[in-house]
Amino acid sequence: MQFVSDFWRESKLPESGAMIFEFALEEIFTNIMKYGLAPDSKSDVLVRLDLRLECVELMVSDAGQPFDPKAAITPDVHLDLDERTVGGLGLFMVQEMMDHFSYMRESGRNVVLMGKKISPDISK
Amino acid sequence: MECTINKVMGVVVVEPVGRLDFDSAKQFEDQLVAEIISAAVAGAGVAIDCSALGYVSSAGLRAFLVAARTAKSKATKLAVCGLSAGVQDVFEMSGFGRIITILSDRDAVLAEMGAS
Repeated sequence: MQFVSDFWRESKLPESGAMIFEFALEEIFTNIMKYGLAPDSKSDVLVRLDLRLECVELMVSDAGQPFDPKAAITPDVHLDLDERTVGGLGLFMVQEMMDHFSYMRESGRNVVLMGKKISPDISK
Repeated sequence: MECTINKVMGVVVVEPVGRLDFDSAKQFEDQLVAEIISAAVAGAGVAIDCSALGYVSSAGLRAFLVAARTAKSKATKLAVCGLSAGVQDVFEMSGFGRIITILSDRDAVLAEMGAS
């Protein structure tokens, strides 16, 4: 997560947007750790953060089980307290937060690519 | 993650400091539930002051959901206050804004809970 805040500072981006990307990265990453990789796996997870044309893009790629976050269950955020669960909530929220979100299975890897328009803070 | 607990005007104020992420959420959840249960015994309300909370993940949201359920089952008043803009966004997007009382700041909570 230090990686996101370092990127944010170096790119002179307004602080408020960083949390969305930290949230997204933590969500996708913990999901891979919990479900995607075999317990003894030595597989790597690639994370790339880019700033292009005022759009911050996050790419996360892993060689675990095929998993499309877009096909994950969609929670009903209108339910009452007693009926609410957190399952699927994080992945749903990530997709809501981003301007674009896509998934590909490519050469035996899951590739999740997402982005959001965030203008650099010109006062910095 | 650090978490300070104070009793202010009869209300138990829990103040998480730092980041509520996958690593720290479970500990916070346990601590929060314990505070709500003992507040219930004492007949006190509980406020979660998030002024010093910089980040919350979905694991952190779970802690708030469990806290709200515990408070409901114990008939204890629970409110959240002092959310930063980023944390507020996460609360709203999760729909938790509708199931947990959110107030502007600690003073608003103390007024709401009728503390004296």
